[in-house]
Amino acid sequence: MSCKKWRNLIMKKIDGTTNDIENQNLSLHLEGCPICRNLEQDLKRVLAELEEEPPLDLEIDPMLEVKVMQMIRHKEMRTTIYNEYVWLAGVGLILLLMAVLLGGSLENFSFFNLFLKAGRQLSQITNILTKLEIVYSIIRPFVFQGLNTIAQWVLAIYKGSVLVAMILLIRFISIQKNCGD
Amino acid sequence: MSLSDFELIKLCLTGKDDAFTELIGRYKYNLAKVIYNLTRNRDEVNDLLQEVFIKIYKSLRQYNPEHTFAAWSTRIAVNHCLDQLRRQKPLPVPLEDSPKLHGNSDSPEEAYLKEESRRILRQTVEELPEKYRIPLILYHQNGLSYQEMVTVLGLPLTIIKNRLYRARLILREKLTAGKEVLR
Repeated sequence: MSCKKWRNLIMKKIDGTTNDIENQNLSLHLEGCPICRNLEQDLKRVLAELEEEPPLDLEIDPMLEVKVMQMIRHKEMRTTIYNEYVWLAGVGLILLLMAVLLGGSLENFSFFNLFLKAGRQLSQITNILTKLEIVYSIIRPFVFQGLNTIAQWVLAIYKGSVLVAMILLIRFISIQKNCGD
Repeated sequence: MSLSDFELIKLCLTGKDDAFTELIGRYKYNLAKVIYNLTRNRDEVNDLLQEVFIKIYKSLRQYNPEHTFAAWSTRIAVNHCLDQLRRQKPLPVPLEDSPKLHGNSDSPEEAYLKEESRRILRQTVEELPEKYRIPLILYHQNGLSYQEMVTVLGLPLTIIKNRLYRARLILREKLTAGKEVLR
């Protein structure tokens, strides 16, 4: 057997998977082969040293569980809020389209004027939304401290306000259009 | 009676967060050790541990009960640490991360020699190519079995065995060539 094959057996012995016969054969070989003997001794010493690291005195954050769960909830809440924005944007677009299409008779219909009026109204709504956003950012820390119910209420009111604002906008545009006609 | 890891995962997936807290409690020490052995940076262990547990939570739906949760979570931790290490420039091992002198019966001189020997060994391991270093650390420092390493590294058993074999030989060669390991 070549030394390479004995080397494989040395590795197997280090893994603790050799049987009695293999151990016996290896011992006999090591007695007569200084190269393999040195390899076995060196590997044993180096790997033992590698495994004998002093006990780790790592200080794991005692609040780890709490922090991880807070971050998970925070990320989930952000996803929810993002979904709410997408939802609101969708509703807004549909309502705007309805306003454009149903805002008045087709006689003397001007898309430009209609968009101009809608734009003015939307800028007011944007102001309202910005204010709501500020209010939401103020209450958000409390939300993540466990007041999820309040957050959901606020979110519901927020959604409701936007819906009402959108309906009022349609009504306003409709009246303006009819007056213009 | 305590629930199995898989039962806890199923509870997590139904929205019971307490189950995940229990999983964190069970595996935080093992994963902290894996992270530390790979990064050798005490200061970052807690931050990385948080990130790893968040990744685990996000991936819970992909958990395959054919593997143990220990091996699966170790795989996530190893991949996360490797991503971090690849982004960072290699840093020298901080002094504070050198093994501390724990109270033992060695004389100050013997203790110093042991410390020095460990430092050289650690540095040599750090210098090994990643493909040899990771199996070496996981097997000899984290006590993973070959089968667990198959799950963790996602490589065939023969490749893992071959890499570990090569890693041991390279380590021995480097350390004995310079007579660096203090006898």
